[in-house]
Amino acid sequence: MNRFLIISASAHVVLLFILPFIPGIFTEEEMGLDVYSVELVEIRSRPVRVETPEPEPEVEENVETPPEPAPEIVEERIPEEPAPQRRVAVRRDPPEERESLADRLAERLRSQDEERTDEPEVEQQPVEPVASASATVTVSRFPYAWYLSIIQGKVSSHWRQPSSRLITQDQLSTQVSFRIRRDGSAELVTVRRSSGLPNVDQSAVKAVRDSTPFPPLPDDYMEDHLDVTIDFTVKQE
Amino acid sequence: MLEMKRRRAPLAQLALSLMLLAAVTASAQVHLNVSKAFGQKVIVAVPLFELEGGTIVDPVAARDVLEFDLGHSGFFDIVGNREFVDETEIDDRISARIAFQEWSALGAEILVKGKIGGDLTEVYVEATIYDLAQGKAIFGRRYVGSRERWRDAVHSISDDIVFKLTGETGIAKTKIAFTSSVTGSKEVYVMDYDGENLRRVTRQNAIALSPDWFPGGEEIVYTIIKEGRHQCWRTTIAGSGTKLTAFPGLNDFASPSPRGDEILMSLSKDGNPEIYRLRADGTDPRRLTFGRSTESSPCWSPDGRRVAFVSDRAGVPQVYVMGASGGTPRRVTLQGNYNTSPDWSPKGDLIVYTSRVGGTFQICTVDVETGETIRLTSGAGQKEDPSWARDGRHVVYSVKQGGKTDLYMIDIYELEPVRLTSGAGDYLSPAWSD
Repeated sequence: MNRFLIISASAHVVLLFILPFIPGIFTEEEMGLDVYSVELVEIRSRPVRVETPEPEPEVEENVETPPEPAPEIVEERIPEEPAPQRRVAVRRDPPEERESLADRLAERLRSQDEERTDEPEVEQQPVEPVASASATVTVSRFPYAWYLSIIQGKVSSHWRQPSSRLITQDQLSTQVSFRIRRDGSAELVTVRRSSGLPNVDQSAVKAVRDSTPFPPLPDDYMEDHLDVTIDFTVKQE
Repeated sequence: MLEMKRRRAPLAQLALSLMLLAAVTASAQVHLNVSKAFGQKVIVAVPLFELEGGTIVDPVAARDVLEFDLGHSGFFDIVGNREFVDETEIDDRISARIAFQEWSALGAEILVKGKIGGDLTEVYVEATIYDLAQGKAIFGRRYVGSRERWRDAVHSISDDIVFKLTGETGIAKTKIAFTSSVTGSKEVYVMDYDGENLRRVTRQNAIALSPDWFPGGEEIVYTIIKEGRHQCWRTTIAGSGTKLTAFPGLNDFASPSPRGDEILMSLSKDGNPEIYRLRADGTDPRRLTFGRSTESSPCWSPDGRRVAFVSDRAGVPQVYVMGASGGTPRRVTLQGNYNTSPDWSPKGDLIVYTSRVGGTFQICTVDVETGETIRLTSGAGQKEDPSWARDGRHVVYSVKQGGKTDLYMIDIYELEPVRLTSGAGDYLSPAWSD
């Protein structure tokens, strides 16, 4: 326990020393938002790749990449069936200040990122209104972009929109929330905000249920669950 | 695409990963938006496998297998520009580090670094899967086995990736049984789901029909017609078989139960063909249908509680569902006047079947509860005998076109057929293992 405290204390000191060297960390007053704007574009037959901006060469050069983490490789003999291996997440409970410090640091960094992201825009597809939608992804404590892509992809492909003949509005939406447990199963699937049409609500709940199981939560994500809210938007063609 | 992954200054990345090491967070929440079908997929880069030791497995072939598996799983797109992928991989090997930003710049979100090593008898295949947005490994796996089984090792890695990243059961290690008369007699064959590793199972010198798998993917049940008589046999993939039934008349369309302890069959020993339920050794037949019509092609629901089959009691063949102990059948195919060869999805909601649409056989699904019908195939060519993969997403079926019959698979959400066979001869009556 004592050893842990010493390690924790020295980690704090190291973090505090790093802080002043991060450009812009003490120059800005405003904290960055926790939310990113994300543009999603419907792909019809083949998914279109979003143009990724060229890496800036002068930043690229001579910059240290984060040390490559040594993965734990699980070995198995063929023809044995690979049983899904699950590592036990070790949960450490650090003192309060560390969390807020780290959070503030993350937010600051993110706000910088956001500023930089302003220049190169994602290629906008000239599509009819039906085909595009905007979304917000709160990534503060869940930085696994691939995980969210998978969920979005699965739920979209399982969503059968109800017949639009009954829908009189131009657009309506249902908000469904659920909780993903560590093993990828979903629970507490509920309509958080009704569209007003039961069959639209039901189709959204069904889409979530049909998309299960979700991926097991990432090994290094410490929580035992993830709460997800999805907006389902029906638009008149 | 998610925009957030694509821009992060290296220093920020360094500091952020430090922060992530230290931070333990309160419960996380995410908010997503879905509007129509986005068809969104995770983009994966698969560089050439690195060779270690004196193995003679072709690293290009290994990459091809993994790309096929992941690219057809329904969840991933492969970075198409191999030239850039290979260049980036060379840079990585020279600098002995992973240039996460360059990989991300190719559009990839996930990177799969593979290695193959070993000697002439034994190989190991290893892969580490990286999250490029965060610049860190998600997991790593390694499989060891005889050199001839290297494909299985790569398939295993693919299934691991599919499970870890999607939560679904992959199909890369499944097999497809079918019949072919390429040798003169019509026999049962087995191949890997990607059309490779083809081998002959039966040597009956007869006409083999409608093979189907017992659970576990090791044993097959099938019918032969020999000297005009129908018999039902059970065999291992290696070809050691036993006769299950030889009742007078038809002994057809045997379908093992989800637990493997029973089979459904169409027997005509009491007159016209009816559905029977037997023990898996062919004994104790119990009749489930009673009528003057023809009943055939039975299959089980995945929970073993219900049975789907074809009956012409309405004058034309249609698919019906009833309890696994009999009872009053309910017609589930309400469109079309010729619907046959049902197979019940492992997920339980859909039945896939053959439907005649304007003179051409096409593959359709019907939702057992709602009756909603979706046609999966279109165009010329007779498409028949659909069979589900264990993921409830892919279907294999035969297509007769230009005098030759081949096997295709289709993803029910993407509806792009993939041809699996190309050799001489016909490939008929496919059945997908679990």
